[in-house]
Amino acid sequence: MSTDTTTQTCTITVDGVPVVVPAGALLIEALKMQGIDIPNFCYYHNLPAQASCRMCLVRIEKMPRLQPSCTTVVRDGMAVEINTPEILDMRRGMLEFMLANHPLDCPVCDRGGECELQDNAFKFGRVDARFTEEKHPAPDVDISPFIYNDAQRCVFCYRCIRVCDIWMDVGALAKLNRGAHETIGTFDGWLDCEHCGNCVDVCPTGTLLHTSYKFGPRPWTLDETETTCSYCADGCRVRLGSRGDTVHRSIARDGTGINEEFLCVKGRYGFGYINSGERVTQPLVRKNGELHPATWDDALEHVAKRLGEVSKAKGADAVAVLGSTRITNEGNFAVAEVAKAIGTPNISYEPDYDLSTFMKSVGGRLATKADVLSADVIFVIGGDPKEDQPLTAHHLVQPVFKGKAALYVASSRLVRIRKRASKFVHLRPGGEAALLLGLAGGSLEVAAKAAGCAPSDIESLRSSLEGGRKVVVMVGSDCRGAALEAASSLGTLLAQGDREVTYRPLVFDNNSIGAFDVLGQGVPYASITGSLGDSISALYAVGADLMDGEDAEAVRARLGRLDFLVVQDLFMTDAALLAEVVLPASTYAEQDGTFTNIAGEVQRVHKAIDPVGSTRPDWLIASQIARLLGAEVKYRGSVSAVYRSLTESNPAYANATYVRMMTEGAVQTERPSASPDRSALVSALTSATAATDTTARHNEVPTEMGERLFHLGTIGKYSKLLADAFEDGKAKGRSVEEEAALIPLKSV
Amino acid sequence: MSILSEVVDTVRTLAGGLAHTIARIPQPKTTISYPEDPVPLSARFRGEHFLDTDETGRERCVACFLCSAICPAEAIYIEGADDPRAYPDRVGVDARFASVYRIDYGRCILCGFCVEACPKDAIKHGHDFEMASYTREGLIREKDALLANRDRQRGLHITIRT
Amino acid sequence: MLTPEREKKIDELLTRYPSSRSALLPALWVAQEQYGWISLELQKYLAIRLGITPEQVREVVTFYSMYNERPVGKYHLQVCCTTPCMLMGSDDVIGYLEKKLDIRRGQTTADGLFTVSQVECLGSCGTAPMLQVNREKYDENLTYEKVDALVDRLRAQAEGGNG
Repeated sequence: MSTDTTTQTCTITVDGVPVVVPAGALLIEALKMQGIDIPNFCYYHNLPAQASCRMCLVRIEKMPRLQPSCTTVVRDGMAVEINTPEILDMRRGMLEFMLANHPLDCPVCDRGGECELQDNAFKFGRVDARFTEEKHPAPDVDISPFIYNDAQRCVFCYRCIRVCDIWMDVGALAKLNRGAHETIGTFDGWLDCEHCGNCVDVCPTGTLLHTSYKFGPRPWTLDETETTCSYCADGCRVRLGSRGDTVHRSIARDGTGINEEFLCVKGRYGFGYINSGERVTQPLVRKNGELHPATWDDALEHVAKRLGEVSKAKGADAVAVLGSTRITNEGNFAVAEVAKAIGTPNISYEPDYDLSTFMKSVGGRLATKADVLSADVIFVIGGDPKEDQPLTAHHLVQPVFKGKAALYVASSRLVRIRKRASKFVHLRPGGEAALLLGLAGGSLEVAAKAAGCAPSDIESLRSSLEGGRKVVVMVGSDCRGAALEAASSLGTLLAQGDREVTYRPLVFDNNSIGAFDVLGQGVPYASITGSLGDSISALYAVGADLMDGEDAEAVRARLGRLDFLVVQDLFMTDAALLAEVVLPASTYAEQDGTFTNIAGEVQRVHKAIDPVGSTRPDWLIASQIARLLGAEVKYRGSVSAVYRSLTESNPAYANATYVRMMTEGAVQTERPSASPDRSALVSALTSATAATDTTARHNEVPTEMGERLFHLGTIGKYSKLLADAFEDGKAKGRSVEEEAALIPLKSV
Repeated sequence: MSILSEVVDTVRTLAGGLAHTIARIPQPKTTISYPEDPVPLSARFRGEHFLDTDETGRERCVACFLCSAICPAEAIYIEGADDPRAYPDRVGVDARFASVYRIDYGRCILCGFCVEACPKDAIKHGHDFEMASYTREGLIREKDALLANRDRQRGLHITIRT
Repeated sequence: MLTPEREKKIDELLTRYPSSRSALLPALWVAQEQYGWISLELQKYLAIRLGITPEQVREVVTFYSMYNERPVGKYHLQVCCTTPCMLMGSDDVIGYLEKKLDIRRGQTTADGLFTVSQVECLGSCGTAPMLQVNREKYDENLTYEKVDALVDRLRAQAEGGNG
């Protein structure tokens, strides 16, 4: 037996059988790779070791007593016994202790059927119970609008506590009391946290449970569909559990996607809108001033006829088409086909981020999860991933906690993530350009004065960034114009050096990048909304929040002046109420397709339930309209054909085929990186710095937990659980004072 | 064969058959005059199910789904729900109860697995076997009907064989 | 929430340890000295004072029986119920106390004089069963008579106003 240094493996003997395992692996992991599952409760693959449940003990040759396999690292020549009577007896004994105060109420427990305690008790436990003393009862209590706690079922693995501390960086769960009276609980009975619910999913028992799934269908009755979350741009993989036509839960317990087991409050609890009673379920056509239900054929023919009339009477330019950052790539592609069929150049969508500037100047690849996890320097400028991109925030603190990466944050807001930063530069509002000018080697005094920080701050930040080998730059939406251009090519601004710089635009919506790729920003959104009712007389709006801004009344007046308005949406939005035709669209749970996430990775959306009512997927509706308008639409009823057409027309997507997505999950689009001109960037920064309003005061109000995370978007509004929890303030975050007082831990 | 021997044969056969019949007349009957007379059934006969209640009248079922999980014919459909009221006002013995409990006797094979699986002794076999219906819908029993079946047992036109 | 002297004491404690979390135990003593118990508000205040989460404070407060999360009577009778004491009859002692004072363990008498608590080992196993009144000297080798005498003595002490 020898250690092979090239492949880094070693040989161990398991119950007399030699097996080759990776060197340096934990014994429990090494055995798992061999298909041997050692029972455990407290071990969790990406949490620090705990070794408190004692279920994974094995006999290792030459070692006294049984050893926990979750903390033992394999060594060459190690001889392990995992199935001796001694070990089986130990497991029986440990389970007896764990079940001593357990209520044994599996029939009413929501975890029944997917409970690790239940499984292990079946496999290794005693048939009878010798413990006849009185148990300490603990009735189940709600500890959050989303989570309830049945403390008596706990086995004290502390997975929930470690998840809250390390994944979420919140630490809202506590172990209270001690000994036989110990329980998992909260400070004052109500959770002050991000309400992500990750503690529930890692719980091996039914101690922490989802209220949204309380006493619902059993896990084995659910059809689970792996798909992509429809909230933020991070693009977490979720498993929708549906029974019949109803989605009952959204979890990530299998941990197969880029997010592994991580989900945020919206991804986990925001699925209510899918089966909301407020959905538009059939096409509506206005007759005599009122919207009446119509058949699909009538509605679509009406749309095609009226669009044709307007374009004939006033020219194709008088028709505008709006796609969305919310719908699938296939949907947007088909919407673009409608514009093409009409022959109008007026196609756009409401952008949530200036991607055209970003993409024009981005100086490298978009940073994937692997880039973030392996980075040694992470620089976040002008954004707040904790509130807007929870998975990005989760990923970027992991290497920081492990001491592998240093985090630098520059923002005009007191963002929560500054607590984990090696250095936080507090800018004045609009000071991003000045800071970047300083980083690019401009005059430190001028830059510092305009940015509102000390010259030494900029200098130390620059040397830290230049010291990085693998740098990830996260560009938030506070960076605009020259600052955005410069931040997205920071690598060219820093001193020459051997370093790989990757970039991540902190976009918000689930398919922002996809919408940009498919629809482009040829005609700015504002110029279309600005000429509605004037040069534009007909509008086909798909999933567009036309009236969500402050100028809602002005937009309403403009929409009223249109000859023809057709709205394709999930709900009766304010714009839909004004429309001549309302086309009911399906949600992401009812259709196949793809979303492109924050890292430019394309991921599949899979159909979990049949379309609600007589709704249809966006791509189908739009391609039917295009066909009625006389376009030659090649794909008939096949979403994969739509996607194939998309890949043919967009080279960035050429490699991201459905087949690759099936095997690899997320496939990054290949886009050429720009090679921006350094001197042009610097001069743009210089003029932007000169234009900075140096009288602007620093924003001294710290960001509150949930300030935007608990903000309901258009679809969140219709998810009853989210809306109830967020609107009446039942879902609380940690208070600003506590948050501000926290002394940051540098590493864990 | 002569005609005579054929006649003799016929008469012998007839006499033999008739003798057998006459010999059975004084013996006890094995047929019953259904539906006039009660049907004798064994105590463990597996007839139409009923949902049981506890001594205070609360439903025993906690919607654990084990009956529907074990059912080889997938005849049982359940929806669980939360009864947020305190114990005295609850419909069931636990906050968790079945808001929908449905057995499709078009599928049920009356194997009794559900009764075996039930951890709360909530579902039991009754003795009713008269489940025929002219429609498929007529074969479906909702929770109310299954709860009522418990009290219907006494009125069934049967005798229990001991 | 604390008196200026106690605030000063906590400031001094914070300088004593490399991490502020380490100052939690003595800081809790300082706080309990003032109020006799540590309310949730006080715990939250200390958490902000020390720069740790309120959950970390409450974990410690609930772990140790010496910190009171509820107001206690003038005399806090802490009866050890760990194994040696239990074998020597601490269950009888605490049961007797409960009956005598007409309260359950963890409760306080109506006159606010006595609180009976069940605590873990106080380290005097050789003289089991035993109890401790507040932070005073142990009362050891308990019998019903000794408990009677103890309660009478404390009552007299309280009436005398020199407790």
